[in-house]
Amino acid sequence: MSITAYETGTATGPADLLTKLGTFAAANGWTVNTPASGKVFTKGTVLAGLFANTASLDLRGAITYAAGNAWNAQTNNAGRTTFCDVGAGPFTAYHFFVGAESGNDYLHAVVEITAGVFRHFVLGQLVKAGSFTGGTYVDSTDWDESVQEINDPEEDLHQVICDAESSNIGGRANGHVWADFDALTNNWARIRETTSFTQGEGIGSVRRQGLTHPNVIVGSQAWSERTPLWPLWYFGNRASSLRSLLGRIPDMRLINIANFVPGQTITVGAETWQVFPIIARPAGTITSSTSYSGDYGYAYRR
Amino acid sequence: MSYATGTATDDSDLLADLRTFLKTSSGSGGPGWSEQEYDSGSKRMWFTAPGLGGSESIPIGFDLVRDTGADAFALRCWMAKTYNGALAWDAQVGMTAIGYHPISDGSMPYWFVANGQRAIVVTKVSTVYTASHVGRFLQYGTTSEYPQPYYLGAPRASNTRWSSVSENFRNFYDPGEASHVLFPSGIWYPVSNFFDSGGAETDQTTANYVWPFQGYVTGNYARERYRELRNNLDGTYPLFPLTLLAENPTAEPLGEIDGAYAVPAFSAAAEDTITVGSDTYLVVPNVFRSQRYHYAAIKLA
Repeated sequence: MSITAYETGTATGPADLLTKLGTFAAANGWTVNTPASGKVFTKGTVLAGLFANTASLDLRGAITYAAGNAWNAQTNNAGRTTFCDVGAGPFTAYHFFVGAESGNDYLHAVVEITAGVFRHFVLGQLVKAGSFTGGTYVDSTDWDESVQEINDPEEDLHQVICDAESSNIGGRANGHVWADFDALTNNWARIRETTSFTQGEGIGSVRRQGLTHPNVIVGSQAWSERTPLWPLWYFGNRASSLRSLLGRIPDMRLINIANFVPGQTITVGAETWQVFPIIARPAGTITSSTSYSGDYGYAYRR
Repeated sequence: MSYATGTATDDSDLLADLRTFLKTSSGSGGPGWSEQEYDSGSKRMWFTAPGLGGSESIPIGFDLVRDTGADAFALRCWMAKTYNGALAWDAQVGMTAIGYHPISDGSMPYWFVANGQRAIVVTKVSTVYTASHVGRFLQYGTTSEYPQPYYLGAPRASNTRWSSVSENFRNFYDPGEASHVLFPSGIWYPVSNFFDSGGAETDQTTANYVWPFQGYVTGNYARERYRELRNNLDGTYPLFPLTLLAENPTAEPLGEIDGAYAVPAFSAAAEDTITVGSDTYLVVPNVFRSQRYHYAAIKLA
């Protein structure tokens, strides 16, 4: 069993979105705390502070709840905030997914900020590779909307969930995973591209520099048009420029969305998945000011 | 699934042991393949494998080739789309090119792993581990959509001594010059990750390939990401599915090889076994290569 509940609706802006997410999460087994500011969502070992900013939904992982502290000042927090640039709203739609794959709890959200244009944020416990202390992931899409960047799916100024391309230029590359290794404790691995290899940080598997890039780019089978789902893997940076697999996001996959419309549900064996573009895949001409994330999409278990 | 391991006294003994293993019924611990023809002189044999459900007929053949002058010996393997006993052995419908698995004419350890749809043969000569795959892989989609997802993963295209260090000499999971996949169209096409150029391991850029060892069609990133990997934080090992990705003549995902995985062999060595859940895997290098990113894990049970 995996997904516990799904909800879709509309929200007037980030504050309304966070309120509705809190209600949804609390109704499905999560504890939603109200610290000095923002909200703190917890379940099991997962803990993340969320804050409704003027034009973004901001998230920061932590390890221990501190009621007297702000959402982003919880004990042993990640030291960085990942931003989901949803804008001020109102939003066309949201989709909330809550569940647990093999006991790994998660809370995932998709926001259709305007018709056909999406953002995503996720938090939960990885399906770990092996055993280690940690495993909480907190990540989001954060798209650079400046002209010439907004329509470039491989631009390193963007951030996507489980990214292997985002650099620290422009203040992005802020997704983070708690993983203690190589004598590092309470270590939040910042997720970013490859050139700045720092021990204790990490990398995802999505976009051009990612391990599964060829898999998703190849698309679907020519005869059947079957499109596989690919895991969203995080890796931790070790000594000697080597990496270890940390795990994958539960009940969420990478998919080539070329054959699907946003929000479509697809059946894979006994499973149902709902697919969305990472940002947008509009029909017609792509201009230098069009939101466009190529064929990259995320699939969420329904 | 079943497997057998032992030491053959020579090339003929290896083939005899393989024949006995493949014919052993599933009730007696073998894969239960049906022998369609056997030539005692040449030791050439055609089998049909029954598939996992017992209703298929997957044609697979083996024999030996010996060149004592060149000190070159090989287990040869091939496949076809159908087997017809009224046709000559080498005139079967939809037959592949012949693949060569270099061995020696002396004593050599072996590992045979097979089920109803495929066999993997691993041999060891000196410190050279050679591995072949014949049979069906796990296709993306249904059998009605892709009825014959066959992969002939052979190390060489001609009889070559086992000690060759050509970069064309590669095992089925990271192939070179002699592997082929049967597309949904019913046509065999080559599968190749690397080729030898002046003795250097050189990326194939437009060929069908096996991920994660290769992915150069979209640049060298995926291959480099794989080569950076080591074992997990707790010392266990991740297994990555050997994924057949097509590029030529069409770009499409085909499926995954059954019973073998890519494994970053950091702090591991050839013939180590690793356990994942209740399964045991044999760690096998790619022929003579010993870098950690050239290993596969072959499921033994």
